[in-house]
Amino acid sequence: MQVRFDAVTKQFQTKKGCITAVDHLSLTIGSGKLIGFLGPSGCGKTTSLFMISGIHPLTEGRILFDETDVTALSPEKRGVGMVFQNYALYPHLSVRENIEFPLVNSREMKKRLMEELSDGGKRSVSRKRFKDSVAERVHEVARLVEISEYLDRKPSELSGGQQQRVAIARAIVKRPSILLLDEPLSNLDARLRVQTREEIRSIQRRTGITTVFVTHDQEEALNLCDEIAIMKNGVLQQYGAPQDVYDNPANLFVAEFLGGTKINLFEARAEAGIVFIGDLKIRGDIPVADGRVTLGIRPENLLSCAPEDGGGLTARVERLIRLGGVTTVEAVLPGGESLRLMKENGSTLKPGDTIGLKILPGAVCLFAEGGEKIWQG
Amino acid sequence: MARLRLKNPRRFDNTAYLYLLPAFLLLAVFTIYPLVNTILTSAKLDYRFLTGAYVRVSLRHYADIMADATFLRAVFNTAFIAFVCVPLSMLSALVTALLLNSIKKLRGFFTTLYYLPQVTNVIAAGMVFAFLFNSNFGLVNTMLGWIGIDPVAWISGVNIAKSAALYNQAYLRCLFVLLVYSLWSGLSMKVVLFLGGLQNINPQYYQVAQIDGTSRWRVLRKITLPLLSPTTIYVFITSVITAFKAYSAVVALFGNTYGPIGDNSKMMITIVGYIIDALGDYLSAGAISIASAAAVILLLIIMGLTALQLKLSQKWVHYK
Repeated sequence: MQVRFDAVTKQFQTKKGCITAVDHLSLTIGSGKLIGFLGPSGCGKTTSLFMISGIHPLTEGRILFDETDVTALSPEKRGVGMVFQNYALYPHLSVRENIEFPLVNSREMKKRLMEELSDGGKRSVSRKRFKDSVAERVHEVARLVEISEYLDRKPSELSGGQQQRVAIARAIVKRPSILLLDEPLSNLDARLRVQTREEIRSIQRRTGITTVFVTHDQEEALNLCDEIAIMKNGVLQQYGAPQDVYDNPANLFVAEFLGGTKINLFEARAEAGIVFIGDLKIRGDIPVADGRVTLGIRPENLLSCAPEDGGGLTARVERLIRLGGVTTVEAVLPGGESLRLMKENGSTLKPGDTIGLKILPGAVCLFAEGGEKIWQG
Repeated sequence: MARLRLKNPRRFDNTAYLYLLPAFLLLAVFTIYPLVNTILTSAKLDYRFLTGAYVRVSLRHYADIMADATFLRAVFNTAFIAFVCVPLSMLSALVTALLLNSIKKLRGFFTTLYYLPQVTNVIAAGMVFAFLFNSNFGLVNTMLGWIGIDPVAWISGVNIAKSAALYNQAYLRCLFVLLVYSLWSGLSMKVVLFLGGLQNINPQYYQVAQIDGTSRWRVLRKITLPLLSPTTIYVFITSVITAFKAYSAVVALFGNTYGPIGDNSKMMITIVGYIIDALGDYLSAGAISIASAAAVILLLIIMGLTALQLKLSQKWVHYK
């Protein structure tokens, strides 16, 4: 199912006054996609998720599921499944009871299940048949998320990752058209996080449910999602495929927020179509007005070469940080600006060496003082 | 289990005992010694308080108490408070707390209002209740008069000695008045405790239930009540123990004859009332022993009930 935000605004009244959590958000989430809301805390990503679920009513705007306006619908009528940040599993119920909870405790759900079983009212459904079909569904999702052997345990007897999977099972047992995940991995340790990430991905693939998840971890979002929506202070900054957003950031915030090793940023100036860092000419023939700009180059787009091959661009190596498969090289330009670049392990560079620098085509981004990108090439 | 290793374990031990000493002294003087002494006294036949003389060691006082109709009445009345008044007052407190918890505006105001009985003097409040239920000019009878009901002799026992039926009717009326008073006076603390318990429940459980389309009644039965059970069991245990020590409420409502005017059977006496009455007679031989024996029985009842409650609570209380 497609989800569309149409100029959605959410304001909260607090004692200190009115806070705008989400500001005129317009966004279309394609059917069957896995998308991530990404941003620092307080950016409005969880609020957006809660608005899809219906827990938070909208202040302004509309939310549509396919062509249906659900803005005024209560949560239970929207048919979404949701996984909360700390799972919110009922501690007094077993895993089985937790998973079947939405099936047996909602009038709406019961009705739907009954209709399915009775073939649209043609056959009568016995109590036993209903119970069996609930049990069957519970087993089905338990198999899907691989928790079949823990059905009779209490949530407190499971590890964080297992609890997470139970929460997902509880959310998808209703066969929702949309699955919402609020920071699903933030309570897990690093290794489990990567593993669970893959599991979420594969569950989503197998079920084909439109899935929206919220995270503050850019790596998670880049790895997991078909599309990412980056938010800051309630305003959508950019929406698109992860690699595309990464390669073509719309503004300085997006460029800085994404990337395991932070993007290199320099104070630069444009003069007669030429951009300089200090006295170094970086690019020419640029249709940019004269003035101060911020220049950004991702570390992996900077290549080191022999000093004479750099076309006048040289740097002195300060430090080598070896991290697993690659080495991060910290270097300084003649003008004193520091930068980072990536190099495979086994290079013979050492601190004090002078290197030449090559910049890959399309890798230079220029940002105006307000942060918006004015040129890339 | 690994032992705590310290450079000088002996020194550590001594210091710890020193710190524990003040509390231990207080306990020893005011709890342990009286407890042991009470048990000993209860077994001394015809013990005299002034001389300390007694005939011999005997459990006869226990037998005497068990055969005493007044004591049995005291046990019944106390049990009525513990097992009728307490559950009903818990139920009304729970409903009140649920309602308070579901409103946003004026919650603080109402909570304060409901807490007021807690800071009211028991004797004064009891006297007000006695006045409310007065046969001739009480508010209850006045209001009943508005809807055409004749005045009821709530707590006056005219003619009760004439027949057992009249006596029993008067007894039922007095139990009713006691129940109403208990509901009112017990509500405050319980409402505050339940409200605290309710507010401790993670709101996300309700959000999950909301998304799942769980009806209010189901949410209450399947989520709220189970998650509230630690509070419930705590309230129940403390209320029952308090109920078994009931005394001042009965005196405030019915006076120190423990009954309506005209009654000389101590109709509404409680176990503690029985003990205090026996103590009041301390100069006569054996009175102190009888009080002690009744106190020991009360202790055993309370200990037994607490053990039972804790045992049962393990089965159905869901601590997070």
